[in-house]
Amino acid sequence: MTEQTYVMRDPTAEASPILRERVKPSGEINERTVALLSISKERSWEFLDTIEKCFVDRGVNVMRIEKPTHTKPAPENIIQEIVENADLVVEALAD
Amino acid sequence: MKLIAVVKRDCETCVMVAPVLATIAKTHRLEVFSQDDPSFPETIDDVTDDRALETSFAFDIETVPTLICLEDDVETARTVGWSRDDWVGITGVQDLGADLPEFRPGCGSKSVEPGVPEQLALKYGALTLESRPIEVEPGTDPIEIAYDRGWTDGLPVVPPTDQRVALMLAGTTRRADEIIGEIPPNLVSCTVEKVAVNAVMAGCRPEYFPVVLGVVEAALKPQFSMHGLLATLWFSGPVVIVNGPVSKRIGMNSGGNALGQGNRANATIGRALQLVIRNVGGGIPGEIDRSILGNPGKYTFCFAEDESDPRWTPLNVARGSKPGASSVTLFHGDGVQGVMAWSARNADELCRSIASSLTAVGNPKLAGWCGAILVLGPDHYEMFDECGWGRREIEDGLREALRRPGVELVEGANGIAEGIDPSLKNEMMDKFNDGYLLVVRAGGRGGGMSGIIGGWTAHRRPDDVQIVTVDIS
Repeated sequence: MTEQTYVMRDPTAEASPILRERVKPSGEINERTVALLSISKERSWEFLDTIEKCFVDRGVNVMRIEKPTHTKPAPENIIQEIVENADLVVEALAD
Repeated sequence: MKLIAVVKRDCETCVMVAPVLATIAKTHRLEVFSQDDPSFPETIDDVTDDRALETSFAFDIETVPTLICLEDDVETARTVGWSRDDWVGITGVQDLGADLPEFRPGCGSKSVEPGVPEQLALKYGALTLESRPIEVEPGTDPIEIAYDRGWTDGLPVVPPTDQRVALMLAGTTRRADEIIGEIPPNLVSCTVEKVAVNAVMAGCRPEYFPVVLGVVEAALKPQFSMHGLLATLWFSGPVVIVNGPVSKRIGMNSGGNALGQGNRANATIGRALQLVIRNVGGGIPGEIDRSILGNPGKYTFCFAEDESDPRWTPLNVARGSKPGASSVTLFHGDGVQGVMAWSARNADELCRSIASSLTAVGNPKLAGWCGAILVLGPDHYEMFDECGWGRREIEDGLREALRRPGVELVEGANGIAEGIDPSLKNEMMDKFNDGYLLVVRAGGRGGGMSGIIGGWTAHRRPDDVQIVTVDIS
């Protein structure tokens, strides 16, 4: 880890923007499975219930899943379940 | 006339000449620069603080004390250390330092301590890096940033800081902005500096850099066909063989485990080429790199030839370099296939045994397709040597032992569909096209073993794809 700001030199042909590009939207989501991940914060289920209805109305498969706590990264079994069963993830913050 | 003296307190000779400087200051315009303590020398009223080493760098000071004479800001004389004759000659002050010895050497300037010249070059504008700066925020891991940005081959890279890049560039006399060529697949112009950035990331030391530049230049020769090698479905990647004094100078391994891990120069020079291709050229596995399986050598594959026996003709000399030249040879190679040949008792037997293993390269029923490197282990070399076989005899013997009747190789022969064109059934077929079997000495003692590095299927087109050797400048 660095303790102060410093500079690395770009080893590439510098054809891409200096700020990393966002991951491109995955396009068509019909017939894909979307994992709705609650981070276990208050009312995240409520938010995800609404999102789920929107997806289901459009014919998208949905799986619901929850982290044990919002204070820590998702444990391996949660990540494993998402990777094996879902194509996309919507992570709900709530509050 | 103006005199300049550069000194430091941490130098006994500087301390010794402090009274001399006071004597000179009485009759001359003298400016004294102190590298480590602006209160030194106490004999001078207005010492200039040069702890930032700006003046020391500007005057290219290597030793303290240094006394310089300027006429209209142009240097006309310089002396380093203490030499009464020189100091009297420059100042014209007779009996200068009469109580001092005639001569006493100085000490190293702080401006030339390891790593400092490169820092000063960056600080004072003698070196300007053109590569785009990427800021690393506090609390972030630069190695992870390199991963996130897709700069790595899967292994961690050394963060290319300005200081490291400057040190790498100090390993060559070539200008940082010199264009070294166009890197495939995107054919992007690549500067010496950009190669240096990637060499830093690969883990190279600055003294490896001339070899890295030679390797990149060799890869860019049109006849090497780097683009095709990158894009091939086959296993191959660039294999680098280093010959000549440079391999010893930078500590390359040509002995035990020469093709394996553990030697920094072997490991990082080959990796630097791969990172240049990836980062500058845009050669990414799964994109332009279409290899079905690849091979571990595509991380890095570089070794030196064992040139310990002066009777052996090194590979680079056999390929046209002058004896004693340092060179790199680039081959399009796969992984390593071991050759077990313990039982041979003379050169003929050993040659036939090795040749039988070489027939498997690509496919035993193909001829004139994939080339190969035979890495001749020391025990096998000793047997050839005891029988009076040198490079030429070994190469001729292998060619002869590998020549087979076309009827055994044609498509369908022995129930195997793979094979050569049926029109060649009455020909005698060489396994390798001329010049596409390289014999290289390397390895450690202990057993009758050699190694085969199979070559690219495109070796069947020798007009288009060639093995390349270049001398290192």
